[in-house]
Amino acid sequence: MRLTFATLSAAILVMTAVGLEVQKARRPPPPPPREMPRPVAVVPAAPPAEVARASDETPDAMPDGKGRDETFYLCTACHGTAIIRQQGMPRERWDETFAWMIEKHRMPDPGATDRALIVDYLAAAFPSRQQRGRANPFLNR
Amino acid sequence: MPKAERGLNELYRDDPERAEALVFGRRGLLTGASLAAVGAAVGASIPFAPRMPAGLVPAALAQAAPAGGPPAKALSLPGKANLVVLQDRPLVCETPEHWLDDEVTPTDKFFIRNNGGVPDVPADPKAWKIRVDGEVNTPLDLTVGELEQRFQPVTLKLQLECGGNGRAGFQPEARGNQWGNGAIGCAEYTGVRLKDVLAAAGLKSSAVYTAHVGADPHLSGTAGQLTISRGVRLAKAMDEHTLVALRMNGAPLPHIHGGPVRLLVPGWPGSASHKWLTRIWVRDKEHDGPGMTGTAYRVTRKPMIPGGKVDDANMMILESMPVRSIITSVAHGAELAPGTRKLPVRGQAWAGDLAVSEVNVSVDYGATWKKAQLNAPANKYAWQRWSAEVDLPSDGYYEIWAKATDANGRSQPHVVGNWNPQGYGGNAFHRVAVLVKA
Repeated sequence: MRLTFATLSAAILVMTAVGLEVQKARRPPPPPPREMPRPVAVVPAAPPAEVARASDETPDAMPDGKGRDETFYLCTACHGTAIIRQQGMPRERWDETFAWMIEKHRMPDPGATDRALIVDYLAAAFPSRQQRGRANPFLNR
Repeated sequence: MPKAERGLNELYRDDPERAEALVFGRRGLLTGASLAAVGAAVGASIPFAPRMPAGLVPAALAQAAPAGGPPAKALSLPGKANLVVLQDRPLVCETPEHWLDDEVTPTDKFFIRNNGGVPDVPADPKAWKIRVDGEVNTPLDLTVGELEQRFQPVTLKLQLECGGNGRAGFQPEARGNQWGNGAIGCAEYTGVRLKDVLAAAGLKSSAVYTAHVGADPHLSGTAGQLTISRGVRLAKAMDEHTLVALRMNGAPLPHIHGGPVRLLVPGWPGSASHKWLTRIWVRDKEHDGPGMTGTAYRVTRKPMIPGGKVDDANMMILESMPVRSIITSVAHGAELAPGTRKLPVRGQAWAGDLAVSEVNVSVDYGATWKKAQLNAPANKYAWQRWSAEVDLPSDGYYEIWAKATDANGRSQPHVVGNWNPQGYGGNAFHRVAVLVKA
């Protein structure tokens, strides 16, 4: 399919709109006691307190650290920070991921100096997590 | 465009049902820019909140957020439930397991996995064209209208699952969206058989593999760069359950789910079921498009050291998804009334290309298991409902575990094994924690 500028612009608009509709939700209160939750009608929810927009993200979406801005601007040329923030990897695997982004996803290669800076940042900010699995839902209620 | 924004804003405020019909049903009335305007106009409101299951959003969010990960966000998009947003560019949303209790997954609860941007909404969906070319005698250009007229319609309930479903269970963490078990749905699709379309083009003897192309633009904005292009062995393409899908749950295929036309290759990683389909390229060798090579949608031939160095030669394409079951009748974190001693539980089970032969449940960490009642699938590739009643001998904390076994006798494991760098095939038991209050 041939992409015209108009098609692309429209697509970006749609993406922006989708991003706009994503709302931040607080860590929720516990569900009501019930043996068998069944779908029933409820009143419409109140408007969310905060609306996040992907294209409005700034570097402070990620933890502070040396190389954060360089990381932010390289990565968010294509995707949001949410996929970065979901990961936890040691430096070697962040470096592999960096190579994978260049090779498979056509990320421009920023050169060895910036690569080291960015991979160092990612490894420090998003290390492999020791604790895995879900939080205990019955604590801290 | 400002005019359109005001108009749609008013439409959503005055008659959200009709607005939804316009956006999700008769998409031809809206252009891409108008759809964007809907988003901007609707913003924070949730017009279809009355369809949301009561009291279930909170536990859903608690469940989907990976430990130590970012706070969960809820999707707010007309016609969609408040799915858990794993990322917003590209848009990737998970359905909490306990929202998957319907035998046929309603469209609003269906998970979303985009790899790139969302293409423009066509002014006339019936005029959307797909091309069938490559190793065929007669390359075809078929509009949606022609697909509907020329080929026999087929309606099937088909499970569609992201290849990365269950990825959050990998230790150490595998790269990608950290799905729980909610990248799955079983909707009713109407379309035409891919085999009929390929037969109309006339397959050459050199045809061995398909390559799928869609209109979703690459995130970089580079024109002509494919976001993803996967394919399947010809035998799978010729399976009578593999559809060129035009309708979902009785309505025209919604744009967000790949409308007006997508592939539906049930039982295999969802990326083979290309959305916004524009081309089926029949190839004389295994397809090598984006998402086919390296570690993408691949698992190991020989088991590798978890987190270790990857040998690309040791990776092979993941075809059929593995067996999995989910508990859908009770949410993770549900509190039960004091004195509750019996709890009916139910859920869904599926196994890629295979049927599920058995589901067992446990409330004592697998020390003892109870066989569940298991329904036959509505048709091949539909998921199967299971139900059981478990005994809870006292007040206190329990985990309900579900374990499915496929027709070849292979069960879900206690923990995710077969580590691979992008985390495919993680199918450990679904575990739901409940508390019988004292």
